[in-house]
Amino acid sequence: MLLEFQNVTKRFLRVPSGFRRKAEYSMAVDDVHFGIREGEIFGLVGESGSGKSTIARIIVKLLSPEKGRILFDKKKVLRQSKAEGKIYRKQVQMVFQNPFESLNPRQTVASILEEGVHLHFSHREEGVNKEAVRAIVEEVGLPVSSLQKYPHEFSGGQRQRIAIARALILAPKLLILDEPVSSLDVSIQSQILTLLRGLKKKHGMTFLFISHDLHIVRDFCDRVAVLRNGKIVETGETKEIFDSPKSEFTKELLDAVFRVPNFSREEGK
Amino acid sequence: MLFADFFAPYSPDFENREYSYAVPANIHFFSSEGISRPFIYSLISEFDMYHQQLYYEDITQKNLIKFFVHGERHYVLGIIPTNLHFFGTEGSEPLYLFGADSRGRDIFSRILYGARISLTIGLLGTLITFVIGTLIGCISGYYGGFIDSVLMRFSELLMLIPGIYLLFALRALIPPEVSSGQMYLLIIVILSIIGWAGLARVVRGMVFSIKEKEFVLAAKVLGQSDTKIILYHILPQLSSYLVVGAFFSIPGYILGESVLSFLGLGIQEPSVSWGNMLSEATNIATLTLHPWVLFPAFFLVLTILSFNILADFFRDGLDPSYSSP
Repeated sequence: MLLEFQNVTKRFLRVPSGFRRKAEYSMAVDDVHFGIREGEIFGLVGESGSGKSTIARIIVKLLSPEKGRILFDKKKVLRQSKAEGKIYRKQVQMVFQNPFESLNPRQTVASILEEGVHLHFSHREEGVNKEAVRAIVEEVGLPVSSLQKYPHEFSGGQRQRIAIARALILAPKLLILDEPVSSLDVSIQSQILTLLRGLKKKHGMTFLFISHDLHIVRDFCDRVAVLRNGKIVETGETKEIFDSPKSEFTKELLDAVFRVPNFSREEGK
Repeated sequence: MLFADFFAPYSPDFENREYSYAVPANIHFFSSEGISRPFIYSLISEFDMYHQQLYYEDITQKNLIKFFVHGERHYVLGIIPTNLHFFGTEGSEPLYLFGADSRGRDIFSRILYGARISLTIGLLGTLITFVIGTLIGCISGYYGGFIDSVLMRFSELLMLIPGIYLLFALRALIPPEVSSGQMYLLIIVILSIIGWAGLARVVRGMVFSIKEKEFVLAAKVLGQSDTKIILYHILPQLSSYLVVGAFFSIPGYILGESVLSFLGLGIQEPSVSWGNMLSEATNIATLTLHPWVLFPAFFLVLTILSFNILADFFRDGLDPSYSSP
């Protein structure tokens, strides 16, 4: 297992307001347990608000859980030392959902990509780093000339390519994709997914793919975990879960997407 | 402003008691001999029955207005010694473009010199306020929690006290015998202390929303330090607001200085500022008989208006919705 989640719980505090004096907690992630194998694409599906993004943010340490353990490469992720944290940051990267918000509008593409390089490869020569930036831009399918441009000059799909390049340039072991295509056009979605598949094959990364689009998850992921209200409902091979779901919730979820309801019969009456 | 020494015909302390409240110069282009270079007639004065000094033009004495005349010695930019002035009259008759004040000092020259203090207070005060306000706003908004509460309650405390009383209270703390140079700096500090609170709150609110944006989160995931996130990712998003805000607030400081000086609490004689020039216009008798002492007010209005228009222009220019991508 590359990454292991052991009984992780995260609550959000609802600040008491008005006459409600008692602070309340809402469970965002409740006793979650799963593992991601090296080299696979692990899918995380569920309704909105089910805690998918919270899990992603816990993994990249934007949020810290109350309880539980997280292991990455058999090493503790929580309460790392500063040096460990830096290595971890390099190995685990994330691509965010909204490409229109995930790029600093006042930075050129070059400086967006250089930021991570300067942080993690400052020991390398300047020329090597410059070359790495150029190579990564071409790898994600953008012309080298785009380095001098600003994010607003690009379309959504191109922006997502830049965001992918930003994560990829650190050569991470685990790439977290938080709904990377949900805000893109359908035709662009398949382009980005093809790109991701190619990159994975080339670099041998592991993906954690978060999505609510079951069509994409079925085609893209090796294994899937179904999440509901912060709890994992079931985990398993994609094919298994889609063909013979065990839990009632998964069945409902699949029915809602894959069975086309027939309205015409009732209309005929 | 920097070249006030050169453009002003006289120094701000140049007194000519015989020309108390001399009328603004009436510049002529025609004389009995026909068209001529611009000139003024010498003034002769007499006292009327109320001991009021009245001025008449002596049309027998022409004084040509010339450019680059020699006058008092001064230093351009404080280094180049010269006695050249941009314009003036040669000979003994002084040129009072905007008239003279009670002690026969040229109001036009004093306006130019006064601009030094009045405008630099505006610029420096705004600079200090924006540095303090942005710094506190960023820290407060970015870290949130306890630090945020402490800083914001403190700023509310400052905002709670009506500005003008706080101004007087802080002014009262300063001993009256400080030199005018120190006074000048202290006034900037006082105005800045009053001004930062409101700005810090606005900046805090903006930082609060920006820090949740995905590009800031992405920088955190990359492992970027807090200071650099604030500097490279949050501050640039605020820049257009800050530039516009700064230009809108400059007039406030110019006005603040004028109010203090007008009330005799700010810049003291012999230093010149527009505010203390205007304090001469408080007397209604002076105002009715010698309305030209109000010229500084006219410049004050013009300056404030210009800064507001400039700020408007910047706002339109920096707003991304106006500019084509």
